[in-house]
Amino acid sequence: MLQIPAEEAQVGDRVAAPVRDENGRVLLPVGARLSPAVLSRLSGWGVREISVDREGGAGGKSVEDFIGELDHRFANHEADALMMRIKAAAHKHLQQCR
Amino acid sequence: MSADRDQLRLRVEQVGNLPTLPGTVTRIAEMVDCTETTGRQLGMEIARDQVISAKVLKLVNSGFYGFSQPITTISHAVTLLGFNTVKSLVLSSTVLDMMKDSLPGLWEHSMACARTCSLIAGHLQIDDPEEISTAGLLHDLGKVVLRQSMEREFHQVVQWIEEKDVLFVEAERAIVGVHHGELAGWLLEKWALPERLVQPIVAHHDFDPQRDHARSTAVLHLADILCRAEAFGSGGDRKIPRLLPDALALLEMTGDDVVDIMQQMSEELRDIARM
Repeated sequence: MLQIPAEEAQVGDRVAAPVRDENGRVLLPVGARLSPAVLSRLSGWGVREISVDREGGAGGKSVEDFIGELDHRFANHEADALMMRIKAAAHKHLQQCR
Repeated sequence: MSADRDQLRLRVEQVGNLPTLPGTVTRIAEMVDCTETTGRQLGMEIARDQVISAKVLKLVNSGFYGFSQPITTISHAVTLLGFNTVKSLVLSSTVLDMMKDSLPGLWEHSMACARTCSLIAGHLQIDDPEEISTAGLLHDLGKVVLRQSMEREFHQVVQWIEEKDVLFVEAERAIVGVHHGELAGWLLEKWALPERLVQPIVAHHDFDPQRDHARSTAVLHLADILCRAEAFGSGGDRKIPRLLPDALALLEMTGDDVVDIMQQMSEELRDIARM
């Protein structure tokens, strides 16, 4: 589940926690798929944050994309044993996201 | 401070659209620091501002604090969370809105850094984890200042990162001459926030074990790097700064401890987007 600003929600995201108005009325139930029409209404409803489940992670990136970026991020630190240990731990956690 | 830095600071402080802290937030921060303030007085002051009350209740009922039952009143939040946590909440609810409108991913990175600071503070059994957590939340506020107060330089920094593939802080030093830690420091001093909160934010890219508040600075330096390693949100670049061994030594932490913290992050920060 991702908790994100409403403006970062994307078409196809699935609602992971009920979206409610100020009176507690449910606007979007758990499991609802966000359509372009619903996305355009979020701001008008006063929704600032939303919890969603997203296939393929944020921005539609795959685990391979994330690992490629991890390699790039640490490219200047290959001689630093501690940084390589941190990279290895992050790599393991990304693999677990599969 | 050089004449250039003086002029830069003046420019930042004089620009009309510098983020301002609502008077209610400043008053609440003062009340929390006063030993004679009661929970009822604090709750009443917060409740006077409906916008801030609504933001605090929304944040306290989000996944961040993980309460199973909804918290519907400010006085309930004060009782459950304590003064310092409520102060952090009030400040957070205001600043997070500024973050959302600046760099993509900065909100997520700031939330992740706040929670990672708490995890490290818990590991180290630090007395006031809320303050370090607040420093984590605010540590990149200088990027918001840059975006809002120095738009031309902000776009040059972004372009420099694109072309040279360097850290945000390196591009700022090359283009602006100061980095976001210092910019945030100027703003936070203007907001009259305490030195023990401001100094770690100012120095999180320039850790020096001899400086004041070095322990909090080391926690923040470590938390920032671990959030970048795990790709929680984005700091606005594609690189990662080196974790300074002096910082780890000051915290008396080993590489094993760091890996343990990262394991906790991967389990407890699942609701924050990797970017």
